[in-house]
Amino acid sequence: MRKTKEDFLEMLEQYKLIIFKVCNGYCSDPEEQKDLVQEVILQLWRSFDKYNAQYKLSTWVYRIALNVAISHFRKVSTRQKHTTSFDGAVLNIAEADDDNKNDDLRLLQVFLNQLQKLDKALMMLYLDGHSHEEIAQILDISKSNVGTKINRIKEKIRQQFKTTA
Amino acid sequence: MELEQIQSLWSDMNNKLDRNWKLNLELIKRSSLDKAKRKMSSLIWLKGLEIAFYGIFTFVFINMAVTNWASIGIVVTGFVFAIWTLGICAAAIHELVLITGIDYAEPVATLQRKLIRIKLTIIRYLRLAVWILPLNFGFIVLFFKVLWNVDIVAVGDQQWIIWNIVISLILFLPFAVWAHIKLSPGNANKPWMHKLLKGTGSQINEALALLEEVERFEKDDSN
Repeated sequence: MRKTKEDFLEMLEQYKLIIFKVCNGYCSDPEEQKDLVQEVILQLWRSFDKYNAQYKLSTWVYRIALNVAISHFRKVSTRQKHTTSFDGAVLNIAEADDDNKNDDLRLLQVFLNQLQKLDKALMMLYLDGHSHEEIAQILDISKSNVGTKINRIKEKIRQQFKTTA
Repeated sequence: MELEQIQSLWSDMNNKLDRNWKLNLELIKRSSLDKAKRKMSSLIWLKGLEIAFYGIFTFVFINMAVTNWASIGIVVTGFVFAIWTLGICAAAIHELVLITGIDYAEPVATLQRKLIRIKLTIIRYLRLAVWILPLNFGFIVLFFKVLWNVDIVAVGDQQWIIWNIVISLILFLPFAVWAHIKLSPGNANKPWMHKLLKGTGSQINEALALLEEVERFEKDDSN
């Protein structure tokens, strides 16, 4: 069945947080984040007709968003040439609000940013509550490997928090 | 900090994103998304043009060889260059197959490998470039034929011609064969390849770094 633009927009509305999380995780500059969100949306649209219902839609969105973000190492000038499909910014980022957890949040972001691209993807999926099996499916590594890597990264982050406390 | 606290921080981070990041769905709705779909195929078109360009040259070289059947120098040059441009065509077709096979919904490690392979097709082109060295005399033959319609092999100083061919065969041919074997995408991770590709742009270096990361990531640490 052909999927319409309305179906796509509905899907975007439902899963936009996954896109935000991935783009925020892989880019720190707000302008780059906007570019990346746009690129992820375009890739989702290009792949939307081929969506395979055997996977959960959230898994499918995660895969595409992560793949785009990880391979997003083109120079800004080159990227801008490719991301002019919209007549404006598809993403608006409001000023960050201050709360007392900001320091810890910032630290968590710093620690996640220090991880390698694929380790970061693994940790994001884990913190998002995905099972080891789902993570293995999204990333294409064995379930046991997922468990081992998560334990190691978790321990590393815990230690980093401890030393900066 | 315990895991629960880290998870709670992560969830705070998500709430913050949900509050501060707003998607302009109205703009997306108004935009011509089909145009974006067509844009993607521009790369495929570009590769198609490259294949057509080198395909035409292959035809021109074969035609040159066939129509100059009496001049051995032109025939050999024509066929050798036809094989060379055909090689470039084959490399471009291979790249096109890889590009059209890209599906961003594939598992992350699998797709990243594929994307890296596409970026590393530059190695195949380097391989083809190496063959310019033993073919250098062919360029001279081609130059004289195209500019002045002269068959330099027939009218040139025979000793000079023989020296050129001998140097090409003894010096450059073994080097080209050796370099062809060494310049394999399988050697992409070797330090000397990193050095060789250093000048070819940050994308290649980043692709190589990511390849290393993917390989390390896929290695099962649980054993």
